[in-house]
Amino acid sequence: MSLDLEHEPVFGPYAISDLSPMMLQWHQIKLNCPNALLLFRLGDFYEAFFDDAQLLATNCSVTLTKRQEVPMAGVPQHMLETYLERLIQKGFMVAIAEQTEDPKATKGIVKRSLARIESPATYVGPNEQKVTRKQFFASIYQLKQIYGVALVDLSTHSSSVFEVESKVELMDLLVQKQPKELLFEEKFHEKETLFLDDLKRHFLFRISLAKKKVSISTTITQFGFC
Amino acid sequence: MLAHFGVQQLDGLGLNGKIAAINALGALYSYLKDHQQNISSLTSVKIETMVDYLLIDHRTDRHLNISSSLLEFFDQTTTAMGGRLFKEVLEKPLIDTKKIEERQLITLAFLKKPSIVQEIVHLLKGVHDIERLLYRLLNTQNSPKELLWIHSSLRALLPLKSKMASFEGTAAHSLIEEFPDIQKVFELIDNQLCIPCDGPTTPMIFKKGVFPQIDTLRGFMEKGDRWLIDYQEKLRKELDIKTLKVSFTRAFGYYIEVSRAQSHKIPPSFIRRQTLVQQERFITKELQDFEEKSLSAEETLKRLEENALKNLIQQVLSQAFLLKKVADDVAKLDLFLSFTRTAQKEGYVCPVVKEDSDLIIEDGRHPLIESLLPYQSFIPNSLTLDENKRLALITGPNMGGKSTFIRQTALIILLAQIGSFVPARSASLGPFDRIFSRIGAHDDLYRGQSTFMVEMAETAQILNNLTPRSFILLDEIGRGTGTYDGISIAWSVLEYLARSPLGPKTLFATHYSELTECMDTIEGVFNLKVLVKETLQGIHFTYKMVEGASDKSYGIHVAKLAGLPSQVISRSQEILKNLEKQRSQKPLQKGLSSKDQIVIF
Repeated sequence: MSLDLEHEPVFGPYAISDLSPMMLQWHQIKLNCPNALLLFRLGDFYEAFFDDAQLLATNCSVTLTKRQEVPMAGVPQHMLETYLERLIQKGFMVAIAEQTEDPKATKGIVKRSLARIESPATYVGPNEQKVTRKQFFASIYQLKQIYGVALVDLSTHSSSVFEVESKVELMDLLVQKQPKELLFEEKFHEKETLFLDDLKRHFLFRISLAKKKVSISTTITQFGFC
Repeated sequence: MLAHFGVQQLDGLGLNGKIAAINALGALYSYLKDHQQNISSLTSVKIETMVDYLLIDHRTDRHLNISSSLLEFFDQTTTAMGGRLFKEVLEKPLIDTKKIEERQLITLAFLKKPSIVQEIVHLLKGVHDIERLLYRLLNTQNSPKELLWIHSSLRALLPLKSKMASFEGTAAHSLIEEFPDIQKVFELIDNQLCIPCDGPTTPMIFKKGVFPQIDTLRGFMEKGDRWLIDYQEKLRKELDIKTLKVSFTRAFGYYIEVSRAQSHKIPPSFIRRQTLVQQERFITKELQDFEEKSLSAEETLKRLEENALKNLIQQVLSQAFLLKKVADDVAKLDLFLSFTRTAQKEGYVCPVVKEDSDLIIEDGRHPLIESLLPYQSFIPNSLTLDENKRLALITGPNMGGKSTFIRQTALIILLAQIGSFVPARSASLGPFDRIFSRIGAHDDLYRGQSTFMVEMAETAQILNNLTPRSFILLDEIGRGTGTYDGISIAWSVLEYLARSPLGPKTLFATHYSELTECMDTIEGVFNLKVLVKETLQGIHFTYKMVEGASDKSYGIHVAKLAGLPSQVISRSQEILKNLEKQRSQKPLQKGLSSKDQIVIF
């Protein structure tokens, strides 16, 4: 299984005006991470709504319920890491919204904000076992005959780049490194479906699409130049 | 302009001109930032080039089981960091003979002091995955667990430097030459955190005496517990209810519980809080006061501890660079300890890797198969490939050990070039830059390619990418098609390789014994065969390679061993005799008529 692009961000068949204040808050956070399954802290639970609820229910066997006609499914707060790990293993990107003020000290709804986003290449679970594979996030950029490949493993603070000159070499490299996630531009995705199908037979990965026109400035600021 | 400016600046990273790589990296960093990932720890980027390493394509990797069985067998590392480095090293065999020698020297030094090696391995057993712990600290700053694991890892490593001093020579010492001073970070955690003896689960986070405020609150709460017990005793006596209990729930707070039968003894000054089926719960003014104080104390304590923990984590994280260096050095050390232990356990030797094109292996063994067989029952084989003998054409029966032989040769080369010792009596080689292989047959059903198509595509890829320092393994090429098609293709591939001006070293296994007759004329080619002893009881495989050509392929013998019905065996012997008669009348070189083909099928 590999998740092709993220599930479409259809938040639900609602009009913004119909939303309760809390669901409005949910909606605003969701807008910042449309491709992730959003777990929204509600008291002692992390709740998912609308399509996210459906996904959470089917993938983690939790009960799907409804609250004011809104599909909802949740996991208890102390079980978060367990479910998170399960979702990540299935290739999901998961966003977690936390309460940022003390419920006792506030009137009305508690403020919430996006605390973290986890995905297969960036998540490190609390369990300590011997992890002998680096978990790479790979980015591919094609420039005529040259494929630039960047491999980043946040968990071990490593980052490297390659340039290869054929698809055969690109395949060799990716099969060897087995990145958990791939990032490339939409046109690569359209053009190289066969290549990607081939790759999928070697290992599982999640695909994300890069925004068009990446500016070199990102790279520069990261290394403190200028 | 921006691009131009960027490239100029990126020069310092060695990324100059690597536009595709820069774009890939830039896209990834901005994506990660957009997704709230902390990328501040990515302070450098490694520019990898393929030319510095022995390249092994993914098919060869699979044919030789490199990243599966071989990795599993050879990776004797203790720590996760070591394990990751081992995998990386196996993926990037070196070409530079100096670097290979540097690695060998460390293993050699380690081998001289096996007891120290044991001791250091024991130290490393106490080291956790520092790299990933750091990452978790950076992302989830709330639990002392990661800190405790870092603490115990550092404690295990404290005696490392003095232990390492026992090794002789500069090679081993260079490993930890720059090993950072971990005493300070260790003390930082050790002085503050309460270190539990068994696993990181404790209600007490900080040691006594570090934060007076926390101590005071803790003391107050302990006193509180004492007060509760005394209060319960007091009430029991005063009211004469032996079963009276003073307890606490999250939802209702503190209460006094008595059974309903006893509830008439409760004085009116008690306030009823809750009525259950069997019990009544009350509260008193005294208890209420206590509750207020103790809850606020608990909250303050929690807040203080959280802040102090965050502080400590920040202090430790400010040493992240040092800890990362510790992790890197431990990984390297672990790698060589693994090399050493394998060499020791399996009886490997240090290969000579020099700038030279000859490959000489004396009594080489297959590392994996050897380990599966009873001790010393694996039959070793020698091989020499040089300018005059570049291509070995290996013939002999199926199951005779041809495939094992060619695979073991590739594995010995690979092991030698990662700087490890090798399973042989002695070995000497010049480094190769590519290993190609075409082994075995399998369909590619997903893409609708037949066995033969896959085989030919892989062969094409080899022939189109040869280098002078290539090592090529070809096993049973041309098998997936008709016999004469197959022979013809095998023949021409063999000729192409043998006559190639690049002169790659090749092991070519086939059971088309016809090929051997025609190869005497080509320079650089020589024959090897599997020695087979024919006895009255049948044939006996010796698994020994000797020079010369095999005249029979003993396929029918193998079929018999495999248990084909005797009718089929005797019929095939009949057909074979017919065919051999025809062949002696009509030499193969002239080709065969279509009638002969019909007889075959």
